[in-house]
Amino acid sequence: MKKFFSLVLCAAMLFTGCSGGDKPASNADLNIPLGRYVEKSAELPPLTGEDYVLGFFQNADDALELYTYQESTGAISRYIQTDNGWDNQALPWMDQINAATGIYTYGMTIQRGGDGNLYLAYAESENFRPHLLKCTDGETLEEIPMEGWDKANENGYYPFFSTIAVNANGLIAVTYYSTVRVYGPDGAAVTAELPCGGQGESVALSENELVVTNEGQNKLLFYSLTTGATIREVPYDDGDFAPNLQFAEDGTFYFLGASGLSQLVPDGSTWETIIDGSLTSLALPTLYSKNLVKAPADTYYVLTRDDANHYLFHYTYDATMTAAPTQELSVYSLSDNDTVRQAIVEFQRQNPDVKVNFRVAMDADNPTTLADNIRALNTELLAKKGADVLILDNLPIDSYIEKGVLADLSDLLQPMIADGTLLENVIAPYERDGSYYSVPCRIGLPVYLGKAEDVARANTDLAGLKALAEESELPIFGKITKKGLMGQFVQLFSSALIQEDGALDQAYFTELLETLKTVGDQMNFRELTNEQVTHFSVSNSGSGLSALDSPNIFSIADGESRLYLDTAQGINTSLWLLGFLDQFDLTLASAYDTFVPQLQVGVNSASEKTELSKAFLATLLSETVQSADLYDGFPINQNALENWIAQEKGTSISMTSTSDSGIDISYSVEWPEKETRKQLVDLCRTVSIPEKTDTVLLEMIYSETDAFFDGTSTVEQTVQTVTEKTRAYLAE
Amino acid sequence: MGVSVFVLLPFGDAVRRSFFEAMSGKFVGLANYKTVLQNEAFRTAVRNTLRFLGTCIPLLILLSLVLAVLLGREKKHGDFFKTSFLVPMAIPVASVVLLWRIFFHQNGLLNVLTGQTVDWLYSEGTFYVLVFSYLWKNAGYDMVLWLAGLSGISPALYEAARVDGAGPLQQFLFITLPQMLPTLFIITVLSLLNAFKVFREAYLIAGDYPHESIYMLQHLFNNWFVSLDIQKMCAAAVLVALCIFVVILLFQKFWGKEDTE
Repeated sequence: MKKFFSLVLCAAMLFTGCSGGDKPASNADLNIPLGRYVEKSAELPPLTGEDYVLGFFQNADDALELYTYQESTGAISRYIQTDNGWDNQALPWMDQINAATGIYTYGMTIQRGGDGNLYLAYAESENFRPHLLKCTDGETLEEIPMEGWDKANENGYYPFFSTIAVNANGLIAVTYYSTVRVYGPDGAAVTAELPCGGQGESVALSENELVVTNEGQNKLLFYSLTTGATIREVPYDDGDFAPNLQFAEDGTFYFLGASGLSQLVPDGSTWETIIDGSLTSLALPTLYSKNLVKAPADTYYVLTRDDANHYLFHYTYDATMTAAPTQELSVYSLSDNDTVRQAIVEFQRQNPDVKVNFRVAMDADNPTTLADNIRALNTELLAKKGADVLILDNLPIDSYIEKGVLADLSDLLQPMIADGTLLENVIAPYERDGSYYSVPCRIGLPVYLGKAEDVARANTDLAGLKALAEESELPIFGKITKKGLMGQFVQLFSSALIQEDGALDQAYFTELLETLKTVGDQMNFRELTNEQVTHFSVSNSGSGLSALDSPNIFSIADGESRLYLDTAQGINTSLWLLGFLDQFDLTLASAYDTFVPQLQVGVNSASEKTELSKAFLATLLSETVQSADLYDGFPINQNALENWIAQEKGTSISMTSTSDSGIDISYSVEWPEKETRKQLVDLCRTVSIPEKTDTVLLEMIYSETDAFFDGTSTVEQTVQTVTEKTRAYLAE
Repeated sequence: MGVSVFVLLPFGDAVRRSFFEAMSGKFVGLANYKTVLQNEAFRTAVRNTLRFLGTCIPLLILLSLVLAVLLGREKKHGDFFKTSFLVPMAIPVASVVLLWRIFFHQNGLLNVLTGQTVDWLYSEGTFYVLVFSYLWKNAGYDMVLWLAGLSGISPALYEAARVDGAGPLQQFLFITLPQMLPTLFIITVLSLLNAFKVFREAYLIAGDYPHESIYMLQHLFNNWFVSLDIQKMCAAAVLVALCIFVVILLFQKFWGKEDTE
């Protein structure tokens, strides 16, 4: 009897535990809740990327009021939203400001306080001395003598404010770089300086409380206005470094960030999500500087911008729409990617009934190894599960294609290639027997910069580079680490180094090593730990130095090297490259016709939503998404490339470089001319050889660098060691 | 039931998968086995694994037997030594790896003490580091098994032998060893199985692709899983399981026959 019952129990555990669970009922059977805020684009006055928003709020007549500063004219404008659009209506006090000189208008902020008055804060352009002015009648400005604003510190600096907020009682909260202080209507300080986070761009003030973000940008700090003590800390996880914080008249607190709009009722402890950011444009990584207005009838306006344009979104409640999308599409990636997030927002906008679930396997909160994550993914794929769309960077793509994990994308890509939408030269290498299983949605562009004759010689082949190095008295490249030099060239020639049968081409590798030895012998290598190559000040950080493993671009400007070799990722990150092109009459060329495939995407063949997945991929490849410069490579959409060429900006950067001879030389570059931008972007249309992205193999190859460059290992020994090291890997 | 569910059923699935393509489920017969046997990486891994087993197991058996015999005679501090030799088994693998890194790194203690600059963790010497690690970890465990076997031999046999004029060596060869054959069988099988566990140290020290001398079967299986070569992994796993099964059967046949005799 005992045995019988034991068997029954075991069978019950075994078979119920193994069941896949109930199949979800069809949508028709589910009682799906309805009602959601939907986003619509609203009209704005004609603003450009050179217009800066100084203030956006609802005025006493419940109309939207917008103040902007135009960089090219230096003038402030005021717009009022009417039934017919936006009217440009100046106020008398604006003439006074526009006529004044010495105002740092770019940093000005204009707010409507809770007391109904207008507040204008600005700094003087010469010494950044701040001023706060109040306008009660729409005509005249009255300065408030803010405590401490008239005194410079021992270094001669005045307090530099970030933003202000004013409550119904006329109390004024002012944020500085990492502190916030509350002042009375007369300008006298009411509280001490309290800590806040970020650059003090987020502050909200009610009758009793002051709210700011903390240093780590992961908590909201609620301070008591009476005592200055912290009442509570509320954690948040948004990702937006400057969320918009506001109190409504009824004391409801609003938080607007990339995650959406949430509210906290007075004395409440539970957040209520009003607008899910992941289903709207709020999650777009290109957007920043969000301004919120709560309009009548519980609608909301959000004014935001990217580098090129401003956007006004109007959120209204639609009681007929499902509360949450009924379909879900999953996207898997080992690491986060802004272009994917951009595409998700765009896709969801076009398909409001689809929610895209973006799963990032490796992030700061999940410190697992690459191999562990791939194993976990493979387990899912083996079970015919896994995400619908796979971001294939650092995944074993060839193996997936061989095993039939990836769906054929020919029906999507071939028409786009045929009609010229996509770069055929970039996609052609990915064809396999007439089919396409993966596509790089962005590319990096290895480029040479130098005098025309030097670039021509080096760019022919390794023999040309070696000959140039042998004849040159100047180092070929500027300071670079040994690993950097080896790494760049191993990647550049990765396609040639690995034979068809998967073995290392020893003869070619030998030639590469001999060439790099010749190049390396006549140059100084950078020591990562001890050396400080440059000290610099940047007036507008449109781009920075490339990674320490890349050559120093300033050495070519200093006349201390012949060539610069690096992988360009876009115009914004190539300002020095393009600036020096014109300044020093240099030549720019694609290095050996290669490109770096980035953001490689495939569709899971086991997915039940193959068509939807392909539609998502089409969004990733669309002009809208590809036109956004998210610093992750060049687009492969032809129209997006044209948009990049056409984009104008007022960016300029400067830097001081200390040359090897100890002389400080200052450089500055501006946003390049259209023809120069075209030179760089057009290179995307000529490249045809994809670099291999097998990081395991490449790491094995250039891990033998130090001994080789130090001379302790000969070329033959190094080739032999690397061959042995890679044998098992390539043989697998 | 537990063994069936958690061991036999998964193994059965692995056997099944070894005859099919990884993802499409298409039956391919023995093609996967042919691919595996012709694979250079598999041959290298098998060679290294056999070399490791052939080196370590006899050494371990001998070392642990010597320790057991010596410890058997040590009445005064026997327990202390027994515990000391067992401590390596209790230390977590990650801690052991840290220890080996400190000791065997190119700038580690061993090189400092000997004045050498050998990278013991990535050179021909890595094999011997692994052998040392295996012996260090498992000697105490096997020693305890030997001691258990030794304690099962009746002292009367030794007395009788002494009376007949047998010396210590003769007693060892003609009484101890024959009586210890069943224990030898158990120790050999356990040592064989434990030898595969040394992969943990090898992996933590040197990663997915260590020096060629310690590139073992588990490395290969691990990497094949990452590249989704499940069919090759299953075929190789079946081959390895079959080989181990045959070896154990042979051990049992030889020693079991002698035991019966």
